[in-house]
Amino acid sequence: MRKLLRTASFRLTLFTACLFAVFVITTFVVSYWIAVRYLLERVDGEITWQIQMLAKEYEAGSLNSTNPDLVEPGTYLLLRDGVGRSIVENLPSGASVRQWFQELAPKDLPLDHNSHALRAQAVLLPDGAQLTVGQDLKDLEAAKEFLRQAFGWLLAAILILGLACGAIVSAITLRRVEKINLTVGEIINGHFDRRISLKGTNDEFDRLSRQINLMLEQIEKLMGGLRQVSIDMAHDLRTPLSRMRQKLEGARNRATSLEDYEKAIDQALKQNDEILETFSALLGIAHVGSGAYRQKFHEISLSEIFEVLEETYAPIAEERQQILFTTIQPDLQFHGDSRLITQMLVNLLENAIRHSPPGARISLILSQRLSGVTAVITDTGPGVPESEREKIFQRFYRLETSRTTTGSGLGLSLVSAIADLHGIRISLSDNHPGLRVTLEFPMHNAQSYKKPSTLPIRNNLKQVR
Amino acid sequence: MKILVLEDDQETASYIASGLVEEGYVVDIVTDGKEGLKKAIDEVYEVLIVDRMLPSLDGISLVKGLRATNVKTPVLFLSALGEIDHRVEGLQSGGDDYLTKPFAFSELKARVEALRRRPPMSRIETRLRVGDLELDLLTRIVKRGEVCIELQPREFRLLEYLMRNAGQVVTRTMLLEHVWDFYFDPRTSVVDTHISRLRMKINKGFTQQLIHTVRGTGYRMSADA
Repeated sequence: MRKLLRTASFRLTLFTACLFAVFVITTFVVSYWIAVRYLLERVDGEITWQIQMLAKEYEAGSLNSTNPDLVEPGTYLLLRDGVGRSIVENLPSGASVRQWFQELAPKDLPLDHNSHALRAQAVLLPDGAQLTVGQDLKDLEAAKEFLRQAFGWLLAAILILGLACGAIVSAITLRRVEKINLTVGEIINGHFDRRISLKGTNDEFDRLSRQINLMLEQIEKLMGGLRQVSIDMAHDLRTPLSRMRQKLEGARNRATSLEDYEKAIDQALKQNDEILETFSALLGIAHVGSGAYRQKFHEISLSEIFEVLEETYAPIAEERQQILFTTIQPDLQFHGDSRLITQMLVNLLENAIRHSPPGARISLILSQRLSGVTAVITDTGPGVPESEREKIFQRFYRLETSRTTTGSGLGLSLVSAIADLHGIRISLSDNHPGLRVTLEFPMHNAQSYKKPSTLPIRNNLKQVR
Repeated sequence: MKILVLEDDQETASYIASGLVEEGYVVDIVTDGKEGLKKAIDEVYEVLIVDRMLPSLDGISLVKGLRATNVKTPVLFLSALGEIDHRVEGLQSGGDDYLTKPFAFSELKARVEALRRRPPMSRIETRLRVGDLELDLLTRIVKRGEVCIELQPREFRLLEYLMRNAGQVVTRTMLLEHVWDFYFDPRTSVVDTHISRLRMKINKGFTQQLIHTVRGTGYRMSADA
């Protein structure tokens, strides 16, 4: 019950019930006032009619104390002649009634022990006599009492009904909320596959439940990804760690000279560096993914970056008996972080160089197309099978063929993170033979950052004035 | 030859200190930021090695404070935060170099030496000379003896950096950062390939080797063997 009292829907219903009560009370007050006025008017009409009738009787001389039939029950009468002598009276003479309708309280009317209030009017007749007619308000009082009682019952009924409705509505909604609560509780306790059942009515609760279910699926997917990365990371780190252990153990057991020890330590250091490199690569990806760089974006020259790459990597390709072809359109700008863009391109270009055999042709193209600036990096190496092209951007993913070469398997993840940060679209395709990597730089990238620059100009203008 | 190490991790601090003492430096270690700032202002040091994260006053604020009081001692930042923007932040605050943890001691040593020999800002050299090799920064002409040597822009920058730091070891990472603006480790032998091409160009017709390989660390340019 306390839970019920604390529910929002019940409180809302209670509020509505109170509001209804206020409406009902207002309606009652208004209609009560109207009804009472109407009844009073009727009483006044009766008095007026009586006065007219009695005045006629008086003129005809037939009105005197010996004719009691003239006075109906509930009607009171006082007739005084010009000098103040009372001719007919069943109204206390002490009560002075003015010419207008006037109500007399029971205390002024000692004659009637039922003591009802009286409404009376006095008129002056043509011969100077004064006629006062009063009407008992017993019926009016009874009507008033009846109205008040009826209203009391009505109010009580409305309140009870309202509260009952509130209780029922909140019990129904509570049950569904409770169901969601229960399911969520189960999920918290480790049953990640539980979902909230839908009623199929597509009401607010169904929609809420569906949203929660979608959220749960998303979370489960992310958790799965995270778990996969953790497992992959553990695997990937275990290899250099176990190699390091072997080297150290081997040195401990077999090394006989200082040279042996130095060799073992050097190798251990190398393995150690590999592990550290993996960690810094992971941190780097996470940092790029956090978007912290975005605030420092500025106009950069893609053409210049490509020229540096050409200059830097042509000799390296040459050393591997490969040829680097470049086509770089000058003066192409982009809004971004030049160091990250460089790192992304270096990763892709080095992949092309490292995974291609001697004699391969590597090409690096930067050009402006209708859709925006496009960069293409191709090689004539072994390429990547179509089924694997999606996966190679995942963390720690490595093609079986490249397992033997060194690397953390994180290079392309970083590429993908940097591309995402800049809104660059990367696609892989077949170069027949080899791999073709296409980077599409977004065109509108720079424009969205130009808007704020109008503000300082305006400020300057103000200062000039 | 005094160096102040501001590092709150005892083990790292003593690792740095013992290595530097072996190299003949006098090393003071301070673990607290505020205390370090006071010491850096009050005493004269050749180089300050500052960890970015220090108790009571972080490294960035410390160096800003130092520069505000007009102390121009070269600062080498040490940090576990190695991303480019962290590095930029460090250098913008008034640091002179930035080294990411973990690092090889040879890397630290090379950088400390480069900072020690850094010429004062006012003295702008226009001509660098090592042995019979001469590099003119204004005309961008490189000559060995009387022979003009044609260099590509990147090779020119590489030679310039080596000559500016003549006599001392420069690591591959230092070269990547200063010559290529690469703040990551390429997976191909970028530095070695370009050094060997540069060597070929400046050694053509000469027998004396000017660029020496320092095993496991980097390169050193000098006229003596």
